[in-house]
Amino acid sequence: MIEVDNLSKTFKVYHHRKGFFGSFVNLFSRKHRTVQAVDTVSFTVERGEIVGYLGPNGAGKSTTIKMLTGILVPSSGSVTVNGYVPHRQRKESAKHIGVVFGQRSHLWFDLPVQESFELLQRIYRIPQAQYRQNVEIFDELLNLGDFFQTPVRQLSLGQRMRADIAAALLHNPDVLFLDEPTIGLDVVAKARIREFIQRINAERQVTVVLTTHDLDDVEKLCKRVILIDNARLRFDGELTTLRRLLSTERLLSVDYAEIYPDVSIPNAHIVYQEGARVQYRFSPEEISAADLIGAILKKFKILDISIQEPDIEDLIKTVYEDNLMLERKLAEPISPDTQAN
Amino acid sequence: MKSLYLAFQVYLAFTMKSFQKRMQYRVANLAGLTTNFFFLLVQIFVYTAFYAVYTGPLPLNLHEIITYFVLCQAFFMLMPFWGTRSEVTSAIKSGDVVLQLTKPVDFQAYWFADECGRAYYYLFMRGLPTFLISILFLDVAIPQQPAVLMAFAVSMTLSIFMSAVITITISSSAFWTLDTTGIVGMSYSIITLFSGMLVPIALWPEWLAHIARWLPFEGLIDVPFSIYLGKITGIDVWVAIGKQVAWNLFFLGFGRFLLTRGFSRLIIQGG
Amino acid sequence: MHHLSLYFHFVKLRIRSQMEYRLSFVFDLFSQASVSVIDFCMIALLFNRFKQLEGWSLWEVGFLYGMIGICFAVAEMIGRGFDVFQESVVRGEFDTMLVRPLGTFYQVFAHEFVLRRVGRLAQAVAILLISNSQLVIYWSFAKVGYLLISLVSGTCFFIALFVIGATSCFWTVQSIEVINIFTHGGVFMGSYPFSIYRWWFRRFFTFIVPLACVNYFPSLFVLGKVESLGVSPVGVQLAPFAGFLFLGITMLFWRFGVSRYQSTGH
Repeated sequence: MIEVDNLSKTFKVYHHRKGFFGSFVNLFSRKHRTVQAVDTVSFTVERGEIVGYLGPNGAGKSTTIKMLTGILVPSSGSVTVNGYVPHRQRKESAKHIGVVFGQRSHLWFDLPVQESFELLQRIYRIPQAQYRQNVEIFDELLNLGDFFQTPVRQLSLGQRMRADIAAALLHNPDVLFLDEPTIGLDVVAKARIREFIQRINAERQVTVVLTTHDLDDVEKLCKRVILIDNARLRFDGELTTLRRLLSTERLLSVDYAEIYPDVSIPNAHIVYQEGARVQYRFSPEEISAADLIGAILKKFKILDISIQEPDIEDLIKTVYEDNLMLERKLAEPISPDTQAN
Repeated sequence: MKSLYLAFQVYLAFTMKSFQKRMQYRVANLAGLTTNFFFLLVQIFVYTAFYAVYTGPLPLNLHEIITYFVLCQAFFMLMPFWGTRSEVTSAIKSGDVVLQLTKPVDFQAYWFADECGRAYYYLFMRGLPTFLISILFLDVAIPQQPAVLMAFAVSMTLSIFMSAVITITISSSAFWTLDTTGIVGMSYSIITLFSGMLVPIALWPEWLAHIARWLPFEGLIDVPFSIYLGKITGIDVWVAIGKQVAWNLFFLGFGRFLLTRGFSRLIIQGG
Repeated sequence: MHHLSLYFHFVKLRIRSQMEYRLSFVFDLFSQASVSVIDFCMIALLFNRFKQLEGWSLWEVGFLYGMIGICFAVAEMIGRGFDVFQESVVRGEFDTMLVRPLGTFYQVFAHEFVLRRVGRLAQAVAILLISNSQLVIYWSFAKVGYLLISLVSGTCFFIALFVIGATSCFWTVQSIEVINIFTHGGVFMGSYPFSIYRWWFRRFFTFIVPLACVNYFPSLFVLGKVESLGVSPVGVQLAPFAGFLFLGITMLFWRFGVSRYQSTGH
């Protein structure tokens, strides 16, 4: 479905001279340096998969997506999507993919959603029956009816995202690219969009490639993740594998009812203590979260307690800094009991 | 006296800020400079062709015409309509302008200072280069008597001030209508024509020139340039400058009236 | 066929959203017309004083002025997408165009339609018609056809200039404002007979930026001045095609530019 082989992209970044004379010289000759945005990345995605394409800001996620969708021309390497080379057969390729960028809408700003959709129907030459059926289904799942007549500029972020995702699927694409589809949304809106993506994937066998900063997105949607950092591929495999490798340590924050002189718990390390607020670091392999909380409740009175998952940025940082270790761990067989955890 | 000096310093700071803000757009300025010269070149071609075959008496010779249009292009960016899209106008449209009332400065004076900063930027970055390069390559007349140069300097300064007060007057319409394009467009047309920027008023038919003499806009271009070319001399110079001062005062007062009315309107409506 | 009907659909939507602010639209129309009428005032004032310009009368020059005014107004009306292309890039709209199954040139072209330029267009048409009524022009079907082709060609010429400006955005963030020299400056200089300019100026605006081919030479043919000026009649008849050629070349330049597109942010 998607084949990426040794894909690289370099950008020229121009150096601007300062001063009046400098800006004049800039018009004629410019110094530049080369930035490697994507470096020999290879992977394949099969039909019907949902893949999380993850990495910190500036890692090269968007650049990869832009090459997969035909926006950018690769510097070297090859890409095929649905059997088309996106930058060479851009128009053909575009007919079979759907694209959503969370940061900006693909719809027409001053047109009502319905007219944007009808315009897309014309652009993609979607048969009337298919168009009607799709709008009906999407309306049912995303409640588009609430704002179908509203100009896009007046939509809330959540409504806009729902409209954008529906718009990207009107022409029944085989592959859907989602770049940060839940950015800035509240919990309810996020859940709704995740559910929709799941159903579309299950019912229509649409392949989904998703970039996100939200670990929840990944957990709810992706079986498989691809990690990229500093332009290079760092990990490609099952999410459970990644989790086992990375989430060895978690954080537990506790607000005690009063200030206790000694709050130490066996197998848990105190990260910091500020008055009645204490944060512990623990490894589920040494002590389970339930046991740890039980131990605390037995000894102290508490007001509030919460477990923090390490967020994706931290995880990826770990992968990057600890690259060698990760490779070593990957080589080890996964034992059934840790997998269940 | 001391407080007046301090107030002056405050507004001078506004002028400097407005000047410096524009220093960032030097490449655009370079493009603008090129455009100025292109238009100047075409104007010279046109007048040369007209003068080549015309045999009757003319109030300005070709040499003077070229000088006139060199000055026109040099001072082009100092004309009122370029300021009508400034930040102050958008602040009026958005209603943010009420914030200005909380500051301990006079709003009109602040705006005037801001406009002066713009004018001085274009005087030094656009006007001066245009003029100096023109002297090198074209047949530009330079007045020999210091008195003429002095009178020109005074008249041109009054032109720059008037440009600022006219800008404020036109832009104040934003208090009443959010869409100022109609008014700006109309005033652009009237000002370009009656300032003498398109054709020197001396070459106009008598009846139209007569109308122009009764309007303030000749003070922007035609009056200072005619003084420069020695077409206005003796006591007439004093009369011309006196008229410029009078029109300046008129627009100052009128602009002030509009601003006061505009602000009270804004406050009553709740901004 | 699909492209054409889609284009008209785009135009329809654009017009409708511009008409939403009716009062503002009327103001704009008015302002546009009044600004451009000033240019003709200048010509009229000059002719009032000097009577003629190298054998051209006021209304002959008015005809020239009307022709170039029409071309520029129409070009600004339909080719605005290229004029504001830099903003489209900054806002990421061009990325959106690249993921749609349509050509980029077509999409940028269909992106904007500025109805209020009708004000300027009407003014130019009016001057052309008045000039025609004041002159004795022997009209034939061939001449009308030739004039229409010339007007289309002149429109292509200005659109081509917008395309050059837009294409430069693929290399530099600051769009080259120098292109204004050729657009607005072109209208200004194109309002006068070309014979008044120096030889090097004429060469440049005939062979490199073919302004004379879409305006001056066609006007010679329509006004019946070809013989008296001793210009090659075949050359004059073929001249308008330079506008189409010019647009064709800039379209190739555009294609090259798109292949160098770097998008914003990585």
